[in-house]
Amino acid sequence: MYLFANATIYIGLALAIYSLLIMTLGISTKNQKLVNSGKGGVIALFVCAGLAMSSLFYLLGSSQFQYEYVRDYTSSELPVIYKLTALWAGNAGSLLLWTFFLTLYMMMITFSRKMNGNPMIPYIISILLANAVFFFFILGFVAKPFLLLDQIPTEGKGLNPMLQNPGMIIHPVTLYLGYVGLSVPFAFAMAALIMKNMDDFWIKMTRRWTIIAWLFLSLGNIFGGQWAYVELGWGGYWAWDPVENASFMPWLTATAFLHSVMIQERKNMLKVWNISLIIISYALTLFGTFLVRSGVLTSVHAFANSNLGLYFLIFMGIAVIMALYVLMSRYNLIKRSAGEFTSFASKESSFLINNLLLVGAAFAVFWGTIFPLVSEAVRGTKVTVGTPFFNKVEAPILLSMMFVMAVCPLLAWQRSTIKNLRENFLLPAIVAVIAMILMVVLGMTKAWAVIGYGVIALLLVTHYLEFYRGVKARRKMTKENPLLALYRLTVKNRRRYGGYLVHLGIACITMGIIGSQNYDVQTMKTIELGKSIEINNYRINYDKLDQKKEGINDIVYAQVTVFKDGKRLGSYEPEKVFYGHWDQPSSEVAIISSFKEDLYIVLSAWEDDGRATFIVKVNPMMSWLWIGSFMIVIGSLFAVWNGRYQNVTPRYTGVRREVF
Amino acid sequence: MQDISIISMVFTAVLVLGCLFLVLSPLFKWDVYLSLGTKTADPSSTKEALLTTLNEIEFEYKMDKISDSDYKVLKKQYESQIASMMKEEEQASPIQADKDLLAEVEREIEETMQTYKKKKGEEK
Repeated sequence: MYLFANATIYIGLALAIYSLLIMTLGISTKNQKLVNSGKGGVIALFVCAGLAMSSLFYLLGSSQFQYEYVRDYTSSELPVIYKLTALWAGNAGSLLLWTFFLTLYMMMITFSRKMNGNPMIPYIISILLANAVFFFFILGFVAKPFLLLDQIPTEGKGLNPMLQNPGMIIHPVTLYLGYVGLSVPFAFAMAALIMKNMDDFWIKMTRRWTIIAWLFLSLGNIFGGQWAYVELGWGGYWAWDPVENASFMPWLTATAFLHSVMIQERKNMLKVWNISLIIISYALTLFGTFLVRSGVLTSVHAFANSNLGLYFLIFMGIAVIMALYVLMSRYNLIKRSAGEFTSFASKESSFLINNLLLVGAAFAVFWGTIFPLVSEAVRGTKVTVGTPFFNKVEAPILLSMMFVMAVCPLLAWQRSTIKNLRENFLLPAIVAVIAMILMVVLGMTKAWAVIGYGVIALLLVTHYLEFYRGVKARRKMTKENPLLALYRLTVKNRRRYGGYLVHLGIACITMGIIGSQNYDVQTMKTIELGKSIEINNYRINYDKLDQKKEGINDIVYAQVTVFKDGKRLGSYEPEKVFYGHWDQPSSEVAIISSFKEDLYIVLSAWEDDGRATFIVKVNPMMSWLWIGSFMIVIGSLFAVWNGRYQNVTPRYTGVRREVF
Repeated sequence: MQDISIISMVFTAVLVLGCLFLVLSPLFKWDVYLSLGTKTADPSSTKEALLTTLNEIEFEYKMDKISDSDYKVLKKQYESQIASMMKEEEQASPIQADKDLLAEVEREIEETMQTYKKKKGEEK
């Protein structure tokens, strides 16, 4: 196995180098056979990466502790599912997963029916192959997944208990799919630039890729937040940890990109901006990996410190410099034949404002994240920027973004008359103001929360009206019944209405954020057996303290009965788990969830006499975070489903066609 | 270092040979892809894009996002673009247009719009 597993990596590296060289030679000599040989290399690379993954799965699943990676991240008593998912618990395995996804995407592009015979393919594949060379090099010489130990240990070190959670099974996979997915539009953009193909063909071809990569990035962030909420036991879901920020930044810029490409498609504008956005998004995925692997910043994501981050930094530097060089060398061509804004009151203007806000938000996160490094370099001391900074900067940006999202559906492309806008805006504005007055009357006193919910009310009404007026307009033309009209309207404009669903999802998430950030209540009490803790309208009776054994883990648990307004909700068991293979215990919290709020109970400590200390939190509107996340998934899938887009016909004008 | 098993060596050899086959075989295929013609741009795509734009303007007008005057200006603007495009098509075709070419073109725009809407199931 040792020979075979390592062979997959080193043959993969040789193939990646060969394919890159032969593809480049094929392009420069216009020799189709050489290009085809490179394409064969892409298949072979995918086979190698797939076999390397299978080999590591096999070694992990069969507990072959003579391999360093298996020893470091598994133990024999670990459930099989966690033995297998330990593949992405460490550096080498997670980079192997990344490489596998990269080769998979390369295969899909090379042999895609849509791109069959397209002259951009050799260029796109060459750019992705350069990435593959880097990753195979890392796997072959820096983070080796198949390293043998001198002595065979009888037992492994076990998997970090924090990672033994269903959220952690999916979180890294979705995040990597998002990261690698962004390299596809990047490669298309670069190929288009190199070929001096200045139309929006690359955007149309990568529309689906970008939305899917964005969806995976969203899922990665959501699963990460969900995991933090249920597993870390501090009652929050987002701590502005450097690594969280690292995955949030490309999400922000990719969101901006998704909107601004629509302006290029329709108005032939913002070409330089779009290419810059995709370069930044791609670079940020590498920057994120640099942060995670280098250990330059303190993070809860404790990958072993290594010089791996440095390699990523160098690779990112080279990629960005080359991308900028290509961009600058084509700058005059891009600027030529660009469209222009005809009205400030137009959909494209609102998209532009949204772009500026998103990029501003990304920059603020970037600055806050790297500030400790900057301060250390300038003043010699590492000054950490805390949560208050991020909340203070990001909250107004989020609010402004929600406002733009609320107004956007009321605007037409090219030009909207202020009079029409005013008429369309009147009803939603009245509803929003009434909602804000009601909130104040009902006792909400925090200005930001009232304004925030007011803007959300505005957004909900404008989006409702967009559906309503759409159905009405369609019925005028087709005389269909309302339901059929709604169905056809949305199905035939999947991208637009899928996007609106995503907006509604973001509104739900914002509801959750505002509620949980402004109105959470927390108490920490030490009580005797039989006594209770009261918080808001909840009463938590402390009934029993006991311990049990699960495998090699010892679990101390408290049994509590929860009452709300005097009505019994049930019996719950917050736990503290002591692991056989891990020094740090972890908390298993009890969460009682409803649409209105979550009751979050943590068993913090206990005494010999039976007294126990509990941390109890009431987190309002938490469920809306997860409901909103679900809507984002549904909206994104709706937008890409079935692939019937407007203007999908490829245009090849201006493209050289010597090889394809 | 673990002993290297025969089966591991066989698998590795198969992998090497398989990869070599994948990268080398295209180099010896003499007629590879030569019969495939290159794709050309679809001349209808620009017209289709303009028709879609016209359709969207009409839809947004019906949703009260555009004023009457703007609607008329925009409609005229895109219709004349399509008209000139169709004129070019007419001139390029061997059969010459009737004496009132403009009236004919306008009628054709209407027809094309109707066909296009039907085809797209009334896109909006």
